[in-house]
Amino acid sequence: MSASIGRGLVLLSLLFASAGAVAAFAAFLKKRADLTTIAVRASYGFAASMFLANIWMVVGLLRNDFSISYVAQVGSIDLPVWVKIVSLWSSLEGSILFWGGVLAVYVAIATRAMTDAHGWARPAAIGVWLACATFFGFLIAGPAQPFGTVVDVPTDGPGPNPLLQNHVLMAIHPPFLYGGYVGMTIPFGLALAALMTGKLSPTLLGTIRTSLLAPWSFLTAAVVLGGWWAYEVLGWGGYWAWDPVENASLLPWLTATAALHSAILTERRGVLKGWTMSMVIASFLLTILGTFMTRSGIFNSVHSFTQSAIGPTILVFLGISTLVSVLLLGFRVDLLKPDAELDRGASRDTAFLAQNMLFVLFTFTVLIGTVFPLVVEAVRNVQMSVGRPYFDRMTVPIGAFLLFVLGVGPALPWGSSTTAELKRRLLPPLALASVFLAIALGTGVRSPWTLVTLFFAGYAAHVTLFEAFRPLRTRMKFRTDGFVKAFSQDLFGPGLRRFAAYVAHAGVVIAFIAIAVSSTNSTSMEHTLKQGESVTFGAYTLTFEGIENLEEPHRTSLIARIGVKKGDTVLEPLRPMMNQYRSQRESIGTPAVRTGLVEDLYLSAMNIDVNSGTVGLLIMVNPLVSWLWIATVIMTMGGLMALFSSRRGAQVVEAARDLQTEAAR
Amino acid sequence: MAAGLAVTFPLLALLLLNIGRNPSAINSPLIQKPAPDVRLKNLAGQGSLQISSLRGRPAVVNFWATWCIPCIQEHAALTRAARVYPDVTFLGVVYEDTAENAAAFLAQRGSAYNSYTDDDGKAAIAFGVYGVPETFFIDAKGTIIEKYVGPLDDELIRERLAAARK
Amino acid sequence: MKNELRTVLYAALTLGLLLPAGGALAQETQKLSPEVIAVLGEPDAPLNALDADVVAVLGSPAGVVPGSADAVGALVADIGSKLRCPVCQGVAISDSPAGMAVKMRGQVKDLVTKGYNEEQILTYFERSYGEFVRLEPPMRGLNLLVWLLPVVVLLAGAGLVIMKARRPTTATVAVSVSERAAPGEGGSVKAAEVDPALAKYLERIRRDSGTAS
Repeated sequence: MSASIGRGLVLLSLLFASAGAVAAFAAFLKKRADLTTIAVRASYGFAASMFLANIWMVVGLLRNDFSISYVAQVGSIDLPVWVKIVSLWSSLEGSILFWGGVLAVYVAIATRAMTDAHGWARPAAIGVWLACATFFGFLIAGPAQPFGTVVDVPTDGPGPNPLLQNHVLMAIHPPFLYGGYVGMTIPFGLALAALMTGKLSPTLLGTIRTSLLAPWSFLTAAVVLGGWWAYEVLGWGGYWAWDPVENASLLPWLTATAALHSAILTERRGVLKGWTMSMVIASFLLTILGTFMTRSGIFNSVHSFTQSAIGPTILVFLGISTLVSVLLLGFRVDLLKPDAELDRGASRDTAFLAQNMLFVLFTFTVLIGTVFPLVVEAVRNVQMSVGRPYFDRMTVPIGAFLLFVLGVGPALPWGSSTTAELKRRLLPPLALASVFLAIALGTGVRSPWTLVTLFFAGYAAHVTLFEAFRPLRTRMKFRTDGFVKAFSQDLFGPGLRRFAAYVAHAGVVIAFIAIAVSSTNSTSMEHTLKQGESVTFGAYTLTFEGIENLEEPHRTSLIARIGVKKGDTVLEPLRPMMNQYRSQRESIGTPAVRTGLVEDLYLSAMNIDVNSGTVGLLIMVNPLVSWLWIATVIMTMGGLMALFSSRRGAQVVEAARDLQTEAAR
Repeated sequence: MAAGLAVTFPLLALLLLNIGRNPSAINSPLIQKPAPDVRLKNLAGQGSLQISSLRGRPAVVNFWATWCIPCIQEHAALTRAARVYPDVTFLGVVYEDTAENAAAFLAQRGSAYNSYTDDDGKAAIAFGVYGVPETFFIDAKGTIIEKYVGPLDDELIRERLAAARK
Repeated sequence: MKNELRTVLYAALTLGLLLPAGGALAQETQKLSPEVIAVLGEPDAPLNALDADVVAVLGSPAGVVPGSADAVGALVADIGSKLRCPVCQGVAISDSPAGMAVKMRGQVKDLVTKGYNEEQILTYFERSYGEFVRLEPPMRGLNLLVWLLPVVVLLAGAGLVIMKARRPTTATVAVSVSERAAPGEGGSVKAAEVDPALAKYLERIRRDSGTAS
């Protein structure tokens, strides 16, 4: 009975989506406003029924309703409540239903945001969104049906994969990831609408930028949350292994960041329209590629689901979307004529171009590295690997150049200027750059690329800080306003979007510093300790105090209690664990991390032997890792600030500055 | 547009062709190559065996462990085969397990051939072992004819030995 | 200005190419001190100390015996980061606690202390597990594609940016200057075309800033 209700809701959403898509495209082609209204209503209908289907599944999980196939698959009576809710996305079918649910929310909000001012782009965009919704509805109603009826209803279920119950991040990372992935559908629809109508009005562009900022912010947080999870749970002391699925989540973020930046040029002067649309479309296509890579089972990854019919179906959808996008771009992009020309020479425009090119290069490199083993297998029938050493070697220089552009770009003027002006803008930040380099050398950094990165980071830090607060200082100087008044009325008023961009940039600079230093300046040691023995590593003295036991329904854990002393100060003991899960042969370790602002003390138990009373420890000191998490919060905040800023206010400020620049010439 | 299609469609075609690919099924590069000349220690702890000393007769090298259910299942078939084919040298190599466990298992189940330990894993590494059970069929000249992954039965052993004994 | 920009770009590219090359070079040279030789013996240690299989595959050691336990540890970690754990999901043997990974690290340590160099050690594992076990694709044959294609894209992208950034010829400059909207006039026409609601704000700003026509 309850399974049927769920199936009914899914079918209903599929009906609304397909009918709405047809109505929307008909409205666009026939230019009929009445059909647009039908499409809008169908859009809300899809959103409501799909959202309800998700709620119904969560209810089923909470009520231990094992007559529903998905609940029978991942549910269990003894689970804590948060695990039950989180099970919605813990396994394949549920995760696709969750995708539908997130899409429902996005489509509802986006449909609401479309107005008559968007013209015929409105039905066009709604049509695209509902077409995507139709596909996912079909997936959920067909190959990935979570509401199957169970014939012999069991009294209990196995619960989700025990490895996924380890950490609270299971509750946070997937929703953020889906918020990022699924959200790319909205700007995709809008970009296709721009191509279909042959016009990119400022209103439409503004909506595209806003609809890109939300998934971008979510995806920024999600990618790094994944890294945090790897760091805290996997025990090898790192946060990014260039795993194919990790790469899949990074690719759309790279093109979306490129799109956000080229869109600035498009908004200011109406240039790079086709390019920006291409980047937006690429971001969506890469999310579908990413979800295919995760669910197809053809990639060797920690995150892979098992193979099923879902993989080929997603590939078909990817093929169709790609074909439609390429055709539309090919035939219609010329209609999006630029309103002006790009500035030449050493100008801000050139910096934006360079940045976009670097992001495309980054995307290409990660993509080709990830799929290359498949190419070699197809050609030579030999399996080979493209792993971390390759990706690190290729992306470190690209990252360094990006940081360079992040520093130099905002320092460059809009339009052309004299050599003297350029010197005045570009030379002062070298001071802070040199300071950073000196500090790096002084604290023992020797790796060449890290030194280069820190030099560029100093430059970028100077530029970002100065540019972020420039309007504030100008206002305080010319209008004798106090700091607080200037701040709240300018930086948090019409100047919020510009300020938000620099906040995000500040986060990026900090992230680069954290990544560069933690990658090359980590130190580690392997050591076996008998009970009562101590070992010194760096400033820390570690004493193996004893073994503790922990019995849980799904696993037995051996915990090594390690006393920690830094110099003479006694700190909280750390407890790395070895967990023996009932379903696994080898035990899986959980590291213990002492997080600090300067460095992390990271302990991983390689083996805990109760008989001989020894523990084999991997001891690591990882500098500046916490700053990566802090930087991500700052970046995400920047994105959200930009999202909520007043678009009207930003346009006014930009137009005023343009006028002032031109008047000053 | 041509550029767009040129970039995207090879990628899509590549992915399509790979549907059904098992990323963990790795071909062994040792087929038709000489068997690695590693030294194995006798289970009882006395004496050792150098793989190169097996030359002159076909050999079957079976990697196994007591915690591996398929290994336990194929044990009977291998024991039978050792008796049926006296001209073939059978030997077992214990993988990721203790000599005590292996000895106890063999004492209980009986055996028709020797098993050897590989504590430092050098034999498993040299043979490119991913897991158990894996069985290598070697001809009289010391060349690996086939690597079989998974539990064996009488029929499978017979087929493979036909090739190795040629 | 164009010349200066070009110079800066070339310098940056050269720097970008030299730095990794320099880094790679720095890794190759290892010195063996007299004290170490006294303790560990000359690098060409007697062959019967080496495994028969290793000798059969690799021959004699072509590297140098490391001078200290720290050097051994560093080499094992470095080479270990380039070997894939065959029973794990894509991690290096230096990052995995799995039993096979630990044993492989032991084998790497054994070979390192006997003086085998990195390429030899990687070749030894490749003999058993195939190319799959190398995390960094060796630069030969088809693999060159994955190393060179990003460079090609880099050069193409750089070329595009430079082309777009180049100063146009005087003829095009004259045309585009005349096409540019004059301040205060075309500016407002353009912006108003672009968004009618802005017109009144722009009027006000122009009045305030004194650029009203």
